[in-house]
Amino acid sequence: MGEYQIVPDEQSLYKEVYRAHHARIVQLCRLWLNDPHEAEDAAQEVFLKLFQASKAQEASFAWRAWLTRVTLNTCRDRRRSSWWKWWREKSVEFEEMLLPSREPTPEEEIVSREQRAQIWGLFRALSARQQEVFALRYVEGWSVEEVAQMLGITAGSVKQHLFRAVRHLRKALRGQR
Amino acid sequence: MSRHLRDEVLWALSEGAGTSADRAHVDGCPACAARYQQLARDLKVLGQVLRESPPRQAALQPRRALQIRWAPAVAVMVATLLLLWGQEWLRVLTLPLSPLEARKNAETVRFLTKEIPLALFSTAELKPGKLPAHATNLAYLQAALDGGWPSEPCEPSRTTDCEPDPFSLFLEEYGH
Repeated sequence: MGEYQIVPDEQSLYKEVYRAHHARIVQLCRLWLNDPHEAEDAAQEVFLKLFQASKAQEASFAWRAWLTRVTLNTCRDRRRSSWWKWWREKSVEFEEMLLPSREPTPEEEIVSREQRAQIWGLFRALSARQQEVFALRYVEGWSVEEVAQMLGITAGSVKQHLFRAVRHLRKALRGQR
Repeated sequence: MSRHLRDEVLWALSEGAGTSADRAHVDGCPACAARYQQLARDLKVLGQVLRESPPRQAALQPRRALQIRWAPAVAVMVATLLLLWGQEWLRVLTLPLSPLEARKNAETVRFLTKEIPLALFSTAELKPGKLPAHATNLAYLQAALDGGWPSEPCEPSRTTDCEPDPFSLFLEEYGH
């Protein structure tokens, strides 16, 4: 019997949490890591941790916050350990087919393709901390206080990083208007 | 109407912070109200775009990608220039000298090896003097007493009560 053999209850809990959070976690990894393959790997690592944790925790556990924090730490570790990949990562040109994306909704169509590319480009240019606070606040929807708690910094510091990130990212939208 | 609010204040208002005076200003100032609404729309759009899959990497970082493509080219160019410069330097070093340069070099070598040592260590002006063939300590002492030998007056050595005078000890040992 393997180490990760789980009983039906644990398996159903894992599956339930996985289904509920998989897309969100993958997207967070894509936001915080430049390489899409590494983002996929990081997401897998997060769910492996979830698999292990699901054996010890109950269904009522705050999985959303826990997963976000684990994703944050996993991406941070990967960013730290993969500094040497900088050259390769920056020059990589992956095909669009590697990134399955759904058709944009009519609302999304308002933002042009160029603007979207520009927003992502500017987001990539933000500091790691600014990327973290922006994603947690405006992509994930956590409050400033919750973000501060997750990152272990003050709410004031979060606001400072957040405002700088917003000011920087709005340039992409202003450029088109 | 007072001055318009800064972007930072408008953003703070969107975060539920800011003062009531600021909020009242936004309510009463059409320009600031428009900017506030624009900020709210921008934040919504930014969050929306970043929830989608990222577009192609090439489109994301056109400037960086360009820099990266140029970096190896620049490195190769610098390495080539260094190699060429090194080759040229070696070539100049190993070139055979022209007769004029060879003569100049020979002249310099002769000057350094012959004329300078002659000028520095010349013994032509020295007159051989008479040196005492067998100078003893006593002869030196006598010469000093006569003033014919360069000598400086010595202070009597200071001693403490505990230490015996070294000079008297010397006399005791060798004088008698």
